[in-house]
Amino acid sequence: MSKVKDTAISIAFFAFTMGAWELSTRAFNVPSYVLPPPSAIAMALYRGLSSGLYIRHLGFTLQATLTGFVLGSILGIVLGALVASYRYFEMLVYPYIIMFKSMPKVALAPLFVLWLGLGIWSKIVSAAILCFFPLMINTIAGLRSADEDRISLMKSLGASRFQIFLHLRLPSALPFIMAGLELAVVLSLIGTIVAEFVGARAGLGTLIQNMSSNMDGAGQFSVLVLLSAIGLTMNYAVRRLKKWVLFWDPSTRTDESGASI
Amino acid sequence: MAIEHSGGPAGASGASAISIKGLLKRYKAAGREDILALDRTDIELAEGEFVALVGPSGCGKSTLLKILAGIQPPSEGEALIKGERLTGPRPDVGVVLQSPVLFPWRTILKNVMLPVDVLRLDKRRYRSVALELLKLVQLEGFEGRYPRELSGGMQQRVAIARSLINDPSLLLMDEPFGALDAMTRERMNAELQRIWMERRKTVLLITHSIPEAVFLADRVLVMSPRPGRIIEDIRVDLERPRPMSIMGSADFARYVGHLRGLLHAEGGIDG
Ligand SMILES: Nc1ncnc2c1ncn2[C@@H]1O[C@H](COP(=O)(O)OP(=O)(O)OP(=O)(O)O)[C@@H](O)[C@H]1O
Ligand SMILES: [Mg+2]
Repeated sequence: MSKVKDTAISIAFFAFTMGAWELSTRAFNVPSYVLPPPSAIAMALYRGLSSGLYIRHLGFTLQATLTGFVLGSILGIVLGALVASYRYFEMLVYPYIIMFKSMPKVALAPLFVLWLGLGIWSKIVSAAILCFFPLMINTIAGLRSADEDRISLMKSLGASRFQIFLHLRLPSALPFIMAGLELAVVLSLIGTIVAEFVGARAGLGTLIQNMSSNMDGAGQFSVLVLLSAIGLTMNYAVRRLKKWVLFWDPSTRTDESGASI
Repeated sequence: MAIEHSGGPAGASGASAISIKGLLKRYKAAGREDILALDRTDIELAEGEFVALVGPSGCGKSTLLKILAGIQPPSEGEALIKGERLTGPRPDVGVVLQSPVLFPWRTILKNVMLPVDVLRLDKRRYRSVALELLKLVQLEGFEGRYPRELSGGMQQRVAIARSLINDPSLLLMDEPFGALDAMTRERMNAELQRIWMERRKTVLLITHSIPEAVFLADRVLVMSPRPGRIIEDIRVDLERPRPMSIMGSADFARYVGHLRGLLHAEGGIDG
């Protein structure tokens, strides 16, 4: 009952905000390239989607984002596992990790475009690099978080290092890895868009830039709406995955509100 | 009845299940003095014997157990299990720790089956053994549940079932009931006695509870404060099976009183 009421109030509040936005942009004659009224944004969105223009660019951006997300995450998990498992490997690569960790990785996007061209690979690599770090760092922390008593128990059974990894460390790391994926899913979209800004033949980032130079405010806003829809969908998918993978972790059942950055 | 000092192990066969000679453990601490946790300890356990080990906190009981479980190497001395020199973990030694140490992502059945997975035994065959053990610890019907759905006492019983799955002849228990309330603890004591009488394993039980030690053990070993050494070895001559009511008897009280006196003279026991 109160849930229905809450929903009704939410919808009313949304309608009120949109109405106020619409009226004030008209009342104060705000130029559309500065802040378009919601009705214009909705129109632009409708036109872009129905003409197929947005779908084509969306396809490109989505492909780069998802590929980058998957590649970067896998690489991060594998490298994290190597660092956590082999002291020698850790000694070799740790200085680089420290160096790259605090660098704003989006600043590398121009280099990727220079090296890999205007095609999809510079976007994939840019997205992958951003996903890589949270996953590697969380995987290392997760694998090391395995409970001391559980390690002792495994040892008392004569478990090999690999068995301890498989039966204990990896499952213990899953909550950390899932948290890393939640971060990475947002970062991969950022990585793709930034690389598209630098230079691309297609993609939603390119579209925004073209619209910006044409002073098409409503168009830009409509693409932003599309981008948040992608972000929300991917975030939802990862949260579902997390719930499914971490069914045994009581802490995942309480943080439904979801993490975002 | 006089309290007897045990002349060492006594069992049906008289053969040694555990024989510890001059065992010493030093923990190295960087930049600080080494900690001598265990000082040239000698212990003999006969096969099938139930021995309890009591001593003040920090005296080296868990250290001793970890050495016997093959989790840590000793610094000096040696331990023989069934006459063989101990070099690492052995499949015929089962371990139960203070906390149940279950794996939350495994069902109760799969938790009990963990040693089967690690030792690469026949899963199909041991599945029925696991179900039987769950019946033994009175957790029939819980095999598909997850640890978080069980109470602390139930989880501890799962840990006991797990330690029995590959039928180890030797059971090492480190304060297995320490985290339980008094009522549950007494019930678990009765259950452990029943399991032991049914399965006839050699048991070394570390406990902070003197009544628990007297109720369960054939012999109670008393350790000195750190660095730990065995300072007393007392035979408990109470008939088996011991009913819960025995805890109210005069004989029981005398054993408890004697041990308590010893431990207080040695600097106390907590709990
Ligand atoms: N891994 C370790 N590294 C360094 N010192 C340790 C380690 N484990 C134990 N110690 C030290 O060795 C001594 C004996 O510890 P141990 O855990 O064996 O005691 P305990 O008899 O089991 O105590 P309690 O009854 O409180 O469990 C303690 O002083 C402890 O500080
Ligand atoms: Mg201890």
